[in-house]
Amino acid sequence: MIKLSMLLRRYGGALLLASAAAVSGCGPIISFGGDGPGDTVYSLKYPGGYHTNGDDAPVIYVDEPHMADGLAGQKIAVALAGERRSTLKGARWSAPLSTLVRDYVARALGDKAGAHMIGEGGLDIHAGCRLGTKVWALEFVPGGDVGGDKVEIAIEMSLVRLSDSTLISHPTFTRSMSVQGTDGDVVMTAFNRAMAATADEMGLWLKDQVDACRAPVK
Amino acid sequence: METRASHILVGAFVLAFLSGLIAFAIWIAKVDLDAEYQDYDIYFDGTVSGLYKRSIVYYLGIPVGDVRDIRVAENDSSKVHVLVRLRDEVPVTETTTARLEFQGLTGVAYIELKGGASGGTPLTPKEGRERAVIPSEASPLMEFYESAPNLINEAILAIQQVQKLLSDENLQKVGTILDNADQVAANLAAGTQGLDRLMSDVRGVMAQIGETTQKLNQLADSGHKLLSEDAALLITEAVKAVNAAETTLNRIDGLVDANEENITQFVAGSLPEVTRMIVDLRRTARSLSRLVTRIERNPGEVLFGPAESKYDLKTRKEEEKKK
Repeated sequence: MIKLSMLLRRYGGALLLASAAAVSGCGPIISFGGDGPGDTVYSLKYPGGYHTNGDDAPVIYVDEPHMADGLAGQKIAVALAGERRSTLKGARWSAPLSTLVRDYVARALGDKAGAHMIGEGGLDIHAGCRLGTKVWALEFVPGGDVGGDKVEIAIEMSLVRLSDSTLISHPTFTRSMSVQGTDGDVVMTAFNRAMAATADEMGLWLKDQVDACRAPVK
Repeated sequence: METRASHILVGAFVLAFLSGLIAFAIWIAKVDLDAEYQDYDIYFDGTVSGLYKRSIVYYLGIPVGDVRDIRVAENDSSKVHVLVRLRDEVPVTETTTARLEFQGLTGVAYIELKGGASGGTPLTPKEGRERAVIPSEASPLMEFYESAPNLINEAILAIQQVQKLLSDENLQKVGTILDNADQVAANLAAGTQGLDRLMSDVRGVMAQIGETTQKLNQLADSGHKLLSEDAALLITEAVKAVNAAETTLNRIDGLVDANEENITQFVAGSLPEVTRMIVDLRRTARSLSRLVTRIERNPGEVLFGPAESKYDLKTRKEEEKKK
């Protein structure tokens, strides 16, 4: 009768070698991402200047936007037919979309509406109003053919006076812009143009509302 | 033919050979015949794991002796009695202390002597003792090893407490608390805005109360015929109660008047910031709750993202992400 210890002595080395090979073969199971080409990174940046409002301009706190329908994060959303959602291959935002939108809105409205727009890091500043934002759509919508592609933006805003929590105004801005091409750069150009046009509308709206956010005369 | 050997020559040869052997052994063992030694006792609290007979005793990093014997202390079983033999020139004074140290992480221990500055009083055996006792002190490494299990247990306990703290139930409660705080802040803001009007109304009511009180006083004093003695007593009690109420209202009025500026400053200045902070905290609590839920459901998805399709602009088609 062949004993186990005898087998181990005879074939122990071979068994050890086979075990090591088997364990090393498990390496590919643990993966930290593919080896494909990296994504192209795009920004959403306000093209205008920086605001130069006076000290007496009203102060508005720009709250962090709420992102709807999977728009949060750095992936670029794609709205497909049949209510299906996807993300754009090979491209992503340079930062979480909520951060990009907040910075864009703060800069654009500070430039256009004549108010101090306080964004990230301004929690301790005494503000007259809070500007809440809900991003309903900021996505690429493929059409039936290349000419039918477009980007869509829908942003709801709520201006709240902080002294009495009164809702001063509550509009929603929508914009659609056609995409002329089939690469990421063209899509991003459309996004930036659509956002700039939306910011123009927002600026006009806020300019009429800022007086409600001025600090009361003591 | 008989072999003739000189016994003297053989004996001399054997003696010379043995002497040479002894000298060689001394040379090999590096025994210092001129050295003089002094024995000391050291008592260590707790284990001396890694210390053996012949373990080296160092003084300022120089080997000056060795361990001759290790045993449990005669009068205290929680201590270890170590007998060391040191070279006589080692300056062991009353300030000298012995510490158990370790060589790297191998677990091999040795004894390090510290102190014993020149000029100090030499350590001598106490009366009735054969050898002097060098006081011992705890090694920092030994203390760490002894406390390490406790540290790990405490860390595990802390993690368990954090897990309990971040339970879904608690996060939901935090969210509820923040909702309530937000509601209270909003109510306070709304309520304090009408404070002046309220106080004006209160002053009016107080004036009326004052008039009524005077009338009641007159009525009670007059001893109206229609009122029985009990009714008069009742009226007197009512007058006392109204007077007490008037005093209280006067105090409240004075308190609000004195702090009106502070209250207004708080409502106009700090309250909006507090409201914003509560909104942010509420959002943070929700985010945490969502994150914990995702981690509980699928930790891998949180780390590496879910399997999802990608839309290719070139092919105008979706591509399934490979897991």
